[in-house]
Amino acid sequence: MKRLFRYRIILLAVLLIFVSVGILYARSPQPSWKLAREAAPSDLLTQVVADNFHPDITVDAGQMSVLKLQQAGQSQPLYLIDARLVDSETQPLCGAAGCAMFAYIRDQSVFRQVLATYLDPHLQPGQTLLQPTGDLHQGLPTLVAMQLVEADLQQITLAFDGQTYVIDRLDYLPHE
Amino acid sequence: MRFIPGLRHILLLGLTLITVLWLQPPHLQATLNVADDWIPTTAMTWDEQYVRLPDWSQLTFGNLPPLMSDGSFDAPEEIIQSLGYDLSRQWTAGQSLETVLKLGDFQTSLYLQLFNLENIADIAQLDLNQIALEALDLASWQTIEDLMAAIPTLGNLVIDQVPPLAALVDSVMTQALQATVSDLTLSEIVSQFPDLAQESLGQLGDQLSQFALTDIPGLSAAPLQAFRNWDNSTLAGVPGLTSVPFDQMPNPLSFTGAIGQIDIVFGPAETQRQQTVSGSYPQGFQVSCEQDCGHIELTGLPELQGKQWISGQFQSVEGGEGVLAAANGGQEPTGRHPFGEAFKVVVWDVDEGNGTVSTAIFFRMCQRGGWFAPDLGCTPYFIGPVPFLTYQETEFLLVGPLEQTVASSTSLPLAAGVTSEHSAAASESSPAPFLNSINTCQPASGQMTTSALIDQIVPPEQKANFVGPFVCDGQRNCGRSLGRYGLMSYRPEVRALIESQPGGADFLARIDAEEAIADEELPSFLPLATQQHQLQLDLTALTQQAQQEGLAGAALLERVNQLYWGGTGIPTEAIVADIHGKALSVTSESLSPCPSPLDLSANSLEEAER
Repeated sequence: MKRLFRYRIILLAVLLIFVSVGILYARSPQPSWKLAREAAPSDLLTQVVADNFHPDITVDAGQMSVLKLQQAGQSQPLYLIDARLVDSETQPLCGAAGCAMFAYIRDQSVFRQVLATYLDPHLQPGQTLLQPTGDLHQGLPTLVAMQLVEADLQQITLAFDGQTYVIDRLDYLPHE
Repeated sequence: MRFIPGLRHILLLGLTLITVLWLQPPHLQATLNVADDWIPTTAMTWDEQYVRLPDWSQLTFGNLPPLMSDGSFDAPEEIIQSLGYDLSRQWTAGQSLETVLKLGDFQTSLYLQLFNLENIADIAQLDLNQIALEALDLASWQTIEDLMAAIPTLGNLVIDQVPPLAALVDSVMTQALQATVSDLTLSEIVSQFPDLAQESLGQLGDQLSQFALTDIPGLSAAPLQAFRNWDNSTLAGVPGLTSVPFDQMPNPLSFTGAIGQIDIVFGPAETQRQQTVSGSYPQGFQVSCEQDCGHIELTGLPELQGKQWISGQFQSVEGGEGVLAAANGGQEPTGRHPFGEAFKVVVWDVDEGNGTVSTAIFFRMCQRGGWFAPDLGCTPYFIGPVPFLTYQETEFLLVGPLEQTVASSTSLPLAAGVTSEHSAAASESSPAPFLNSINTCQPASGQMTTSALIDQIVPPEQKANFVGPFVCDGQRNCGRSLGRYGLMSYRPEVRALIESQPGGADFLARIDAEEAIADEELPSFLPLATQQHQLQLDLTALTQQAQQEGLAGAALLERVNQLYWGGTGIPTEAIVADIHGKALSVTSESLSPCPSPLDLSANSLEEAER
C-alpha cells in the first residue's frame, strides 16, 4: 500500500512537471523569422522598400524575412527585417559590408525606422546573427548581434534609447 | 691674494654656466627619451627572448606623457553649422592629452561612450556624492528635455527631488509660477510649460558647483552616449575617466600581430627605402621612402627580415578618412597600429651612433555619424607626438598585424570562361575597363593607377593570404573568406579561379570539408593578382550599373563604392554603415579619380550630411 502511494506521488510529480513546462512553453512561444508577407503588415513592407531600395529596383518585399517581437511589457510590436530575399539568386541589399537589417515600430499612421545597419551574415554554424535577449529597454526589446571580425567573435548588445537602437555593450566570445 | 677670490668667481661662474647648459631642457627629440621612465611595461617571452610591452593595466589617459608639440584644427564654418557646435581645437606642447582628446575620437575604437559614471567610479574608486555636477562637462549643455530623454525615470520625479533642475526652474520662473509647479512632476511641468524644456543646466553658471552628480537621480547610471552631443566632451570632462586603465575600457587595448627584432638603427641620411612596413590606413603599410629615411631595420620573422620601419619624424603619409581627412593637409607621420585604431605608433628619434630608437604615439579627431547622422570621418593621426617606449638594437618590439607585399609580378591564372582580355585588367600598365570611365582627369594631373583607384574603394586592411574560419551565411552558402577582399570560397567565380590551379580542386575540397587551412597555402591557389582580377570583374559590373544611371567621373566612383559595400539595390543617398555606426561607403569628396589634394567644400559637406 505504501509502495503504491509512492508510485502515485512520483506519477503526480512527473505529470506536474509536464503540465508546467507545457504552460510555460505556450505562454512564451519563441519568436521565429518568417516570410515578410506572412509576418508584416503590407503598409510596412511598402515603406521598407520606399525607404531603403533604389527606386529603379523591382523587389518582392514579401520575400524578405521578418521577426515580429512582442514581449511581455512591450508597448508595441517591433519588426526586425532581414532584407535578404529568401530563395533568390540576387540580393539587392547585400554587399561587401554584409546585408542590410532594419527595425521598425509603428508611429501613429506610419512606421518609424529605429535601426538600419549592415551585418555580415557569415557566422559559424550554431551562431545567430540577430536575436532578442528577452530584456526590455525604453519599452523595446534589447537585441544581440553576432559578428566575426577576423579571428574574433563579437557580441554586440543593442538597446533602444528612445529614438534609435544604440550599442549598449560589446563582448568578445571564444570561438573555433 | 685678491687674485684668488676673482678666480673663484670665474670658476663659480663657469661651473654655473656648465650646470645651466647641462640641465637646460633639451631639444624635443632628446626629451622623448625620458618616456621610458613614464611608461610602465610588462615583459613577455617570445622565442626565449624578452619583449617589453606597455602595461595597459597601469596606463591611463591621465598618466600618459603630455603632448610634445603645438597643433590646431580649425573647423570650417560649414562643419560647425552642420553639427551645431565647433569642432575646432588647439593644443600646446606640454598639455595633457585628456584636455585635448574628446569622447567622440574613440567612438569606434575604445567605445568610451558605453561607460556610465558608475562604471567609471567603480574602476577609479570615486565617490560620486563628492563630485560636483560642474565636473561633468556635458552637463552644461544638456537641456531639461535632453536629461529627460537620457534618464527615462526623471520625468516621474517631482521637481524638488532634482535640486539642480529645481534651481534652474527657479531661475527662469517668477515666484508665483514657482509655487504652482512645486508639487508637479517634471513631465507635467514640461507639458504645461514647453519652453522650459529647452533651458539648459549651463544657465546655472557657477551654481553647478554647488550640486553633486548624484543630485540628478539616474544621471550616473545613464550611458554617456545617452546625452546630447556626448562626443564633444573632453576626456577630462568625465570624472574619473582619465584614471581608467586601458585594459578596462569597454573595448580594451590588447596586443595583436607580429613581434619583430630591431636589427640596426639608421639615421636620416638614408635614402631610397622600398621594403618598408610603415605607412597609414589609407596608403597601406608598405609606403616607400625617397629621402631622409631614418628607420629601424627589422629581423626575426621571415616576413620581417630586412624590412624597414621608417621614422615618422622624417616621412609623412596620407591619413584620415571622410571629410575630416583634409585636416593637417591630409598628412600624418608614417607608422603602424599594433594596438588598433585608437592611436598610431610612430618610430621617432633614430640614434644610429648609439643604436637606440624612441617611439611616439599620435591621436586623431573623429566625428562619427552612426546610422542616422552625417559621418564626417576622422582626421589624420596628427595629435602628438606623445613619447612612448624607447628601444635599443637587438631588442624586440610589437609590430602588429602584417600585410603581404603586393606581388604585382605574380602570374595570373586563367579560369574557365575568363578571357585573356579580362586578365589584362590586372596589369598596372593597362587600366581596367571600368577605370576608363572613371579616369576623366586633365592630362596635366596624370591618372591614378588601377591599384590606387581600387584602394580608394576597398582599402587594403586585410592580409592578402588571409583565410577566414569556416562560416555559413544562413542561406545554405558555406565556405571561407579568402584574401584581401574577403572573396567567399562558395562563389562560383572564385571556385573557378582556384580550380584552374594545379591542386586547386583538392584545395577546394579541403575547404568544403572544413579542414584546417594555413594562410601560407592561399597564394598558391589564389594569389593577390588573381584576387585583384576578380575584384575588378566585380567592380566592372557595378560600374556598368552606375553608368546606366548616367554618372561619370568622381560621382561614378562614389556610386561604385556605394554599390560595392551596400549592394546593387542601395539608393544613391544612402550611407552604408556597419553595426558600430561606422560608415563603410564614402562620399565623393573622399574619392578622387585624379591625384589631387582633397578639399573641404560646402558641396562635400552637404554630401556628408545626406
